[in-house]
Amino acid sequence: MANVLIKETLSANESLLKNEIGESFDTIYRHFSIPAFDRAEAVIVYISGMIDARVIDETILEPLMRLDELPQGESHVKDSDCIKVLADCGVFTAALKETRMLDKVCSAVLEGDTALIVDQCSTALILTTRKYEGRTVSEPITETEIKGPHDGFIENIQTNAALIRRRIRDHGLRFDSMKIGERTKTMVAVSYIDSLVDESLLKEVKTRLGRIVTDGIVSADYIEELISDSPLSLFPLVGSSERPDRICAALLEGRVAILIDNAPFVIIVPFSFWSFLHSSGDYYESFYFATFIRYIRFFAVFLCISASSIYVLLTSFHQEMLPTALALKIAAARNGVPFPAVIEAFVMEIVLEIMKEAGLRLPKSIGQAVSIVGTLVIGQAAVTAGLVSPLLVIVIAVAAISSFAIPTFSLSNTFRLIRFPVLFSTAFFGLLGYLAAIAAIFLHLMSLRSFGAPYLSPVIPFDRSGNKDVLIRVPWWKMNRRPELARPKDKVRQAPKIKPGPPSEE
Amino acid sequence: MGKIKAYLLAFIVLDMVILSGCWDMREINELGLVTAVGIDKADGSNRYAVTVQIANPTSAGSSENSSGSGGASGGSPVWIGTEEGSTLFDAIRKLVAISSRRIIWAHNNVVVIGESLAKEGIIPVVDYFTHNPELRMKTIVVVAKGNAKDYIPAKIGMETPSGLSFIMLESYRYLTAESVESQMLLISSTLKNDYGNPIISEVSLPKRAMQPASGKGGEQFAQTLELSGAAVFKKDRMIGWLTREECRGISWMLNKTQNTVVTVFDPAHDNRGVAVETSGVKAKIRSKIVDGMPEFTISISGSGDIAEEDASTNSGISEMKSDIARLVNKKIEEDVKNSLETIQKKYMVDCLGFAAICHTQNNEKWHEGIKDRWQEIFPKIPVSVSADIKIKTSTLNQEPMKIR
Repeated sequence: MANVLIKETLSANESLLKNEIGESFDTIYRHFSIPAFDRAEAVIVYISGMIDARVIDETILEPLMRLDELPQGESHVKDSDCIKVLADCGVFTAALKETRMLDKVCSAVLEGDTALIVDQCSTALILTTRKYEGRTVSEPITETEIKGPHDGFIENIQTNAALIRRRIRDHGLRFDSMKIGERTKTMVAVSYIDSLVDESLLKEVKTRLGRIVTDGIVSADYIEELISDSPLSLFPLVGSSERPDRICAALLEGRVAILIDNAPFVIIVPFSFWSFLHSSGDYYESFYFATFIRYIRFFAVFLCISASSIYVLLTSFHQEMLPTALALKIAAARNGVPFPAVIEAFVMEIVLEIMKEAGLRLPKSIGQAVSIVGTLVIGQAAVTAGLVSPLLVIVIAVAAISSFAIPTFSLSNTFRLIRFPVLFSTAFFGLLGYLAAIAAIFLHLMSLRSFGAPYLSPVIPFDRSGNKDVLIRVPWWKMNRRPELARPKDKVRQAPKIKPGPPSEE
Repeated sequence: MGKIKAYLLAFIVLDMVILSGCWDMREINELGLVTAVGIDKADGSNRYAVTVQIANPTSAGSSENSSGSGGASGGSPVWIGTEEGSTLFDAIRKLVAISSRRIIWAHNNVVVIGESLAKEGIIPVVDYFTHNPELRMKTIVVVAKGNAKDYIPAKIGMETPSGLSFIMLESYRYLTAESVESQMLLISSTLKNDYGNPIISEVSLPKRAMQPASGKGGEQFAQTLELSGAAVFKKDRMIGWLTREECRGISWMLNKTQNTVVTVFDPAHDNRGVAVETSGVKAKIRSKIVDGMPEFTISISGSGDIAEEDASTNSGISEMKSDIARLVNKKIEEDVKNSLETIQKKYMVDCLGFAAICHTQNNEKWHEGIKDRWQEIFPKIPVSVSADIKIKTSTLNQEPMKIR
């Protein structure tokens, strides 16, 4: 199939095509004749759901069927240049290309283009007529921000590229496309700014993408998993975002974005651990508040991992670490609870995870019922029945709410998982077990890399300039250099002294 | 085969981890949290009696107010038990036989030592409670007038369980300065010191707290625990009591008070009473050795505010301030001298750490004869005291409230 050329006769070509892409109800073979070519037979092939019918009517069918006179008296159909003539003065379509390969014709038709084949002509014309039904650009669902732009990526890669282009007018903005997936032939575009991006990084991205030989790419997460540095790690090593502003900010730092057709998420590489705890909203609020919020998030991470472990550790091992009044409160709350604190905590965590999962996929109308049942059964009944202590319910709830405060869903899921090993380690060895588990997590984090960049950079290894935007966010007029994470070619972001102020006296 | 071996190895390693864990796990609600302990040893007997107050978390944790009058009934915020044994540890272990919960000391705030035990020597108590890793070194140690046993069920302050009140009593001690600092750490380090003789706060049971309800007209006030006064020790044996005024004198000397009230009577104006609240009080003790005899100078400086005046005067502001300052200084000097008198002449025991001060300030001469004679020298050491409290206030000074 790969190298089959288009035949001379129309009927032969048509049967070849029908053999290849079939005669599904939406595959349309429209026959007509072109008056100017001695009423030569012609056929246009397209998929009805993927084209713009008006474009076909107005730019292909109408001009061709009315074309009764050729310029410069060229008249013969057998003329090998007939397709060129048609392209030059026959059809009105903006984008077209010629091909002699049947394979290309099929692919084009399946992508929503229209193929024009004329009898006695061994070249086909591919005319761009794509128009898919899809969402319009709307508010990103997973990364809502109060301030800042409210548009988000959609499933259409063209629109997504346009959303980026509208923000970055740099001449060096590139979208290098490739097709991944034997059957889905998904379009994947590697986007970067030519004058910033590190060549070796770009090469690595393209190599890793090129290595993917698979049946199909259905969503961005397929690619994420297939290009990760440490595929077995619990931690996400590749960033993704629904927000064009976030992607643009990454591109301006010299990073590489990967756009995938049919996926509203765009991948960013390299990505550091800290970036998962940042949100684009950090840059739309005052830097004082943004810094405060970042610390709140770090604290939320701590609570999410440790809340239940610390409860177990304090109630079962190190009662002397509690203030007396609190110790008495906990003892009173736990009075008559028949399980050890670990079992209590573990069961409640699991029940809560079940509730989260149940609430996630249920239709909204039933979702309410779940929350009522959950609140009543877990919050009230279990405590009243004396099966769990009310304090533990608070602890578990705090941990759950903390997991929602982590801005990136994938990292939040990681922490939801990781707290179970921490809990068990604590339950077996008390404070030592807890510390060992936390140390193990840190060691693992330190061993990770995202496209060559250390996962914990710029904190470990330490880089002073990079730390202006990690634990704190300094004001924009201080961020003179781009972060080192992606090793950008041009390190200077802005002029040195742009701190604003009132006009000077002189 | 290799695979099975690998699994077996993993299983064994995992077993080692899991089986060795949990051994020191104990749920908080299965523990008896001791909040106060009293230790007695009857005269001539060789058995220790230990009385513990254990918080009963069911009611202690709940918000309902309870009187804390003691007893071991179900609803009480504390459980009180007593047991005897030939050593302290013996007695404490035996408590398990009646308490149903394992006792932990991590939250204990106070050790009450009975008078007779204090007179016999407190080494066993200090040793047991510093040996035990659970016990905090910040635990307060007090000596009871009479038997320690009676103090554990007594009403103490307002906290529930009542043992917790001790922390509060101790933390506000600087306001009256009528007892001394006596934490376990301080006492054990003083006892280990070459020339250390501890002073430990005293508790008594005056009838000052309103009865809950059942007062039948006659007995309106019940016994409550009061922290004031102190016991003087010669090494580990108690030799006598100090009054609250003497404790105050010690507090002035040793920098242990800040916002104390000094009341003076102004002879120039019909002995009207004036109360001065001191602040920023600092005491400096200097020593020098003249002709083989140490001499001490204590200078106390600070400031004060007039908090209360009983009658108006017609003197000017600065005049009146200097008048009152003079009276306050005189009063402080008297307090200090009185307590020095008692300690030097009556008890003849250096419990103020003068030896250490003399040693550090005159290292060479200390070893030339003073060290060995310290016991006999101490009662004779001349100490000069001077106080310099400045009155800051200028309000309330001329025209207080008058009845026309």
